[in-house]
Amino acid sequence: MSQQAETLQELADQKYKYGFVTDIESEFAPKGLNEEIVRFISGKKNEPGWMLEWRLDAYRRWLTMTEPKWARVDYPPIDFQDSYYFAAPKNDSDKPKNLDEVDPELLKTYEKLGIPLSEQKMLAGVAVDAVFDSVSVATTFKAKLEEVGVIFCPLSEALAKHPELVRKYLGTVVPVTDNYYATLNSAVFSEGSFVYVPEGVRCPMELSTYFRINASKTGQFERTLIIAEKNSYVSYLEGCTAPMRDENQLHAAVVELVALEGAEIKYSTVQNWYPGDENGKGGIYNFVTKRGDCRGANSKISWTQVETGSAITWKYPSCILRGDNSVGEFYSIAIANNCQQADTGTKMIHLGKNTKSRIISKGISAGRAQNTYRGLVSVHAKADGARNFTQCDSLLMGSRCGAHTVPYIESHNPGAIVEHEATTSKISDDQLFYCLSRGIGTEEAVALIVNGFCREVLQQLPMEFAVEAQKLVGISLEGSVG
Amino acid sequence: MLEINDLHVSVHGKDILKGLSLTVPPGEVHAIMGPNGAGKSTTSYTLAGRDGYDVTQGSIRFKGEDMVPLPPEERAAKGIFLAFQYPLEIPGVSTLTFLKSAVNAQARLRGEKELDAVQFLKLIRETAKGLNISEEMLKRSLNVGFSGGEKKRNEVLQMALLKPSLAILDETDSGLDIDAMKLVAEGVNALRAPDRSFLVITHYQRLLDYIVPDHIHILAGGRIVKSGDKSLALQLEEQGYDAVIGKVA
Amino acid sequence: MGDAISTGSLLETATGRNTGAADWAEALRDRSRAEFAALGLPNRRLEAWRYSDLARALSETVRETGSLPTCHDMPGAYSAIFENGILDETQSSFREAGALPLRQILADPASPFVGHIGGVNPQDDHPLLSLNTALMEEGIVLRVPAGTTLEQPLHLRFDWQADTIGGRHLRVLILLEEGAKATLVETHGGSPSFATIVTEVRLAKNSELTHVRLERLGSSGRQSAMTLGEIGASARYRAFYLSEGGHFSRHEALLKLAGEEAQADIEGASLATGTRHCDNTTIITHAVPHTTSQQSFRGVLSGRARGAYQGCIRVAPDAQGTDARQMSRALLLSHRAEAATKPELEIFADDVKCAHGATIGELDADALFFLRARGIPEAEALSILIEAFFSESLAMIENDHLRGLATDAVQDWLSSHASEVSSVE
Repeated sequence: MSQQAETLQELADQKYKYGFVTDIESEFAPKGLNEEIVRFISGKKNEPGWMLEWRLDAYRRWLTMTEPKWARVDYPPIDFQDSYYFAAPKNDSDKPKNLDEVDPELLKTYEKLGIPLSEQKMLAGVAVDAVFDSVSVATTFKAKLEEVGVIFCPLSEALAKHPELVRKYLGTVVPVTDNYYATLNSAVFSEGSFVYVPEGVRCPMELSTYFRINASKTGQFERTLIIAEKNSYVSYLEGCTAPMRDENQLHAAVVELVALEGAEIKYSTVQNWYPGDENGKGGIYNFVTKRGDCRGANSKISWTQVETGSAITWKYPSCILRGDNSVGEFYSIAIANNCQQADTGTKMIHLGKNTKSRIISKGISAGRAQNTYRGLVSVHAKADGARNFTQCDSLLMGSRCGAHTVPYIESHNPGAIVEHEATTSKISDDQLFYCLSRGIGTEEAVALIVNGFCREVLQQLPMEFAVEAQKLVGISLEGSVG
Repeated sequence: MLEINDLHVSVHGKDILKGLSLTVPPGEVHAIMGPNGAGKSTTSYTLAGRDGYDVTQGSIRFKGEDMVPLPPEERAAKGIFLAFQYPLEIPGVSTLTFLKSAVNAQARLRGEKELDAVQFLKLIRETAKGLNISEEMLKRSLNVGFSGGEKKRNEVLQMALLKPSLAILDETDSGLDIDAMKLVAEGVNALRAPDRSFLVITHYQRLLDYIVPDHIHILAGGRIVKSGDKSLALQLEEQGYDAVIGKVA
Repeated sequence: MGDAISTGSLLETATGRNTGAADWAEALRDRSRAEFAALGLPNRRLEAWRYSDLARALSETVRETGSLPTCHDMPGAYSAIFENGILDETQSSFREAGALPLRQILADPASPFVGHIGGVNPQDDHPLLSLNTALMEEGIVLRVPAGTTLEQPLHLRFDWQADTIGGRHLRVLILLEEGAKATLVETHGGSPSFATIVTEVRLAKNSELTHVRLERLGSSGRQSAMTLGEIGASARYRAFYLSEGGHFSRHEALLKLAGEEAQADIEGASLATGTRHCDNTTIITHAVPHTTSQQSFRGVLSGRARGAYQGCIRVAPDAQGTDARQMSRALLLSHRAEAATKPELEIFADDVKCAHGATIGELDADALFFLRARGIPEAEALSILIEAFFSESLAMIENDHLRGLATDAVQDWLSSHASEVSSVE
């Protein structure tokens, strides 16, 4: 026992692998938030006038709003004036350029993060948009995607090249006034990815955006918009990391997905923002609004998330099942260790007939962490034949953590069937001993059992990332059993 | 192979084993029989190194080496294998994944080369076929939804893969009908070898009809109270524990 | 028939009516009055009242549709009869059980129950608990001495036939001493303009209480009731709650399992038609190791009825060995009915078994067709299937007498509402 505990303690003391800082000169907007800052950001991106007005409108509305308090997370008040809202590597001019022009320091950074940006070195079949603080530094495989008509570029570039598409869809899934953080994002969003898949096109490769916060005292407010036209298909993955710092940094993103008739969007996240140290100092506040709109009949949106990082996670990727026969899925692994707090889940809003949703949530709590699943399944009166199945499982490791389940189930339709199940368990000493007696060490045994617990969700990830995610699950829990 | 000398073990502060001594030479099959509460399961857990089974006195030597300070995984790597009375279920972890992890973890601990996926699959297919274990069963979550017989066959499969020097069978017959028991016994018998010893722990004599031991020991009150050859089992069967142990006492 | 009621009018109604109370009782009331004045009537912006907007329900003027139902009968029990919230001693036999009227306790400066009334409060900041404590006048207090068994059930009958007072607040206190056993039956009938009823239950070591609530309110009835329980070591609380809804009907069971091996078992059934509202809320706190709770709530909603079940299981830090199970099933029979379920887990200990399951759906169409194909008319077929739906729940009730009562109550409802249930809109 004690021997195991020691080994694990050693492992726990290992530093967060992505905690380094890239030494690169950055340009900042002046600290704080006001209308001038909003104009500054819009100006930096050479945005059209309507976009600036949109931002200013959001900013003014934001001033009248208050922070939501209903989540089971606890943190000191955020001073929104004590942060930078725009930071960009200095020698990066207005727009992203060819890979060979990107600052070698940045290329090195991404290589170190395991995301080589040169197309020869990359994972075959994955196109990457790399976002560094407030700007996109590179997007790979653009030409190859253009051959089939898929647009994959930074949102700022989309605003310049395809303003009609952006204007048509931006804010239609997550309205400007949706919630405090989404409204803040609408005012100050600086970068993000834009994806457009034309009718009938099956996107030939995985699309991926890699978000990196580097600068100190800086928030990241990206905005992602994905549009899948009729009968198209796209699979998109985002990853995120940040340096280890004593301060808390804010990440308030908005993601909007639009699936038209017969289209399918698969959106996967491996969230590994810096979680703070074992005493809860530092770490990212991850306040994110993600929503998909199954606008057309027979469309499908599937969210998969592996949430291992952040000091605080406040995130509810949701599906509006508007089209008849549309399908929404939410597969989640949320791991909270040490002092992390996670309040995450989903909303499935059944509006159309024969809409189906499936929620599989696996929460793992360790250390002194608090982990909450919060979800809403709502069936409206016209959603005849709607079906939902929800499975929420919690695994507790140690007696000082908490696991909470807060599902809201509301049905207004007699033809709908909604089922919800939840369980709570721990890794039993018997299971652990069984593994040990076969020669498998404690750490590996815990990773094995936890990965088994999460299997249904891990299976949803694209192959290339499932292996990484499995390792991450093990690493995130190091030091949690002893 | 295995030398246990004056072993005292307490569990939750309660003394269970009180001076157990036993020697199992290489290649031999020894059976430990005893009534409920005699300390049979404690013996098997102690040998495998389970937490909470505190050795307060005496020694366990395996191939001449002291086992008491070693954690379970190291004992496993050195060649001790415990076939569980109640094999554990681990949801979501396929039998295949589990077996591969175990085989490779032991290889690592022994400083040997790990098997790659192809080598492993070849090995396991060959081994599983002999035990009538289907590929479908290997893909299922470990022991989840397995019948009693399937669980025990899975234990024998693990034994065959891990090739231990000492296999401890803890009440392997419990919960099995005759056909399932025969199948398991055949699997065990196929593994008998000059350099491999077995310790068969059982309450009933019937398993010993199929796995024939070289020696039988009767455990009662935390000690071996009587040893003998195969005929001792028949004597127990006819007269019952009370009569046989009573004679000793 | 009920008129509009507000926080202010509730407090005013009571002014001057609380006479003859002892100083301790006045102090308790004053404190609670201030709490309620600060908290106000709950509305749906409060998380716990998300599906039950009391402030709104009370702001409406409502009229009774149909005839007023009366309470379920309970022959052979010790009784306490309340007519429109006023205890009628002449018709009651509760003193034979050793129970006393609340008025008598509140007036006694040296009552042994000082400290017990308002003593069981597993939840902070409950506006209606404060309101009830501030304005309680009528009620019953029962203590069952150690080692004794109350021979007959104590039946509290609350009849509301012509209630026009804007607020009646009743209080019941049941103390079971070590090893004591008792059965408490509450029946509610008719339409209170607005009533709060708080039943405080304290179970000492090894005691056992069987608690039956049968609520049959009229369509304009507005009632918010609460059972507050503290369950001691190896003590057992067993309950069956039946509710038919009302203009506003809510029952909260706030139970704390406070001693090791304490156990709570609740079976709940709600059946609502028309425009009725019916809310069952439970918060079960496992405060110490090795306690067990089991809840199962079933609801059938037709017409434009709205039903809610909110169940929270809380496991305190160190409450290892907790075994808590919760199940809710709702059947919607019409397009305009609504069901909401919020089964919540709050767990701060790792060695626990907690599980909940919830379903919302409709009656099995194949089964319905099968019955009709055998010549059974639709209304009857529906009744048979609804009865079957509840029968699993009823079968869980161990006590024969209690199961009989519960079964009769469900059958009564089915026979009187069969036509409403089958008129699917």
